[in-house]
Amino acid sequence: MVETEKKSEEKKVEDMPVQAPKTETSENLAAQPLPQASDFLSAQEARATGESYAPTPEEIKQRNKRSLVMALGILAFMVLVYAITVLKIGATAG
Amino acid sequence: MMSDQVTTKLADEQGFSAARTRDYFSLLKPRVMSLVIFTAMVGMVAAPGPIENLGLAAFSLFAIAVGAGASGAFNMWWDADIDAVMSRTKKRPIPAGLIQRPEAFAFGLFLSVLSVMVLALAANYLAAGLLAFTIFFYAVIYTMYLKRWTPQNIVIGGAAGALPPVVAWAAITGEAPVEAWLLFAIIFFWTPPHFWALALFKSQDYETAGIPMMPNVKGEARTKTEILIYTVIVTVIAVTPVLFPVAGPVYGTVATTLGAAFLYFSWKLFRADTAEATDRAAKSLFGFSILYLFLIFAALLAEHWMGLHG
Repeated sequence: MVETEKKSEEKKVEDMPVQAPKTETSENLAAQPLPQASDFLSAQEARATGESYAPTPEEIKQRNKRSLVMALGILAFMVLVYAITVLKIGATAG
Repeated sequence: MMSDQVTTKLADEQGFSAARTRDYFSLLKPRVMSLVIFTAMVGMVAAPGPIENLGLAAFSLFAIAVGAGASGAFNMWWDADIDAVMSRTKKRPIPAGLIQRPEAFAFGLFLSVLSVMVLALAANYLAAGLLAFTIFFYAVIYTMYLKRWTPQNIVIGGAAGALPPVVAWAAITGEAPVEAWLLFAIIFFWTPPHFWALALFKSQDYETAGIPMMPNVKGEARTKTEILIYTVIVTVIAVTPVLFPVAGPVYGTVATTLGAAFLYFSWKLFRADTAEATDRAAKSLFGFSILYLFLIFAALLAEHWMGLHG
């Protein structure tokens, strides 16, 4: 009896339509008040429920900055290795 | 583990990372890094002969600084739990919830590999090996074991902070002779009076965090005595470079004069008989110890730049 109830509950959950993420135009977004951190699920909560997580504008801004710094860092590393190689070759040749 | 509890709770409260570039930079302990850059630069300049390739020397110095920064990131990764309860460290990026522990670990590991590799490329394997050992010693031997285990933590752990001039010397010459180890010895014996002076006026912090610093474990009187002993040792060792071609009369005069002042501040702390006087004297000694190390190394740098040693 209990098992039958459990199965029917599971069935109900399976039958529930999966919510498609809302697509919002930039006009709509501009008209809305800025979202607060509390309006969003945390990354861990989002993972647990299967819902997607929308980062806050501040988080997106910081992520973009970090990405830029990372790109510049990789570029700097390439330049560094190149410069060291050139200096080493120069020293050996000299 | 306590540190995991602290950071898991912080991670629960967080969504995406809001860490800024400067938060990652502060993982590198920039103030410690600046001291490392300075002492390493002195090691490079004090090494015999001219620096043949300034570009490679600059890249080597950069690699040493990044290696020191990587050690700092490992330290903050491991010590997040105690940093969170100490007034001096609770605003660091991990206890402040800006960066999570695994991120700090990955950052430290990445920079360690990078710095050792760059030093091997720009200088030589001896320097790279010494840098790798320095990072290992600070992150594993000091941070993971000594710090929470014995009141001699900063005495033995001081070796990590003392190695940069030797690494830099090796980067320039490919060797690590006794003169380089003299520079090591100066920083090594300078560390206990410097940190124990800090531990005296921050003893409550260390007590709360459960770190066995000398004042908390052996008491104030024993700490003052040991500070005085180590000050005598460092002032004597700091003068010995004049017996080698690495230092001359300018350095000798500066080291002797400042050594006398260092002894005066230590003696004042030793004689302080009230809690207020001890606090005041410990703060004065701590402040002076930084000035002392900076000035004696600056004197060495000045002598070499003046061309007194060829």
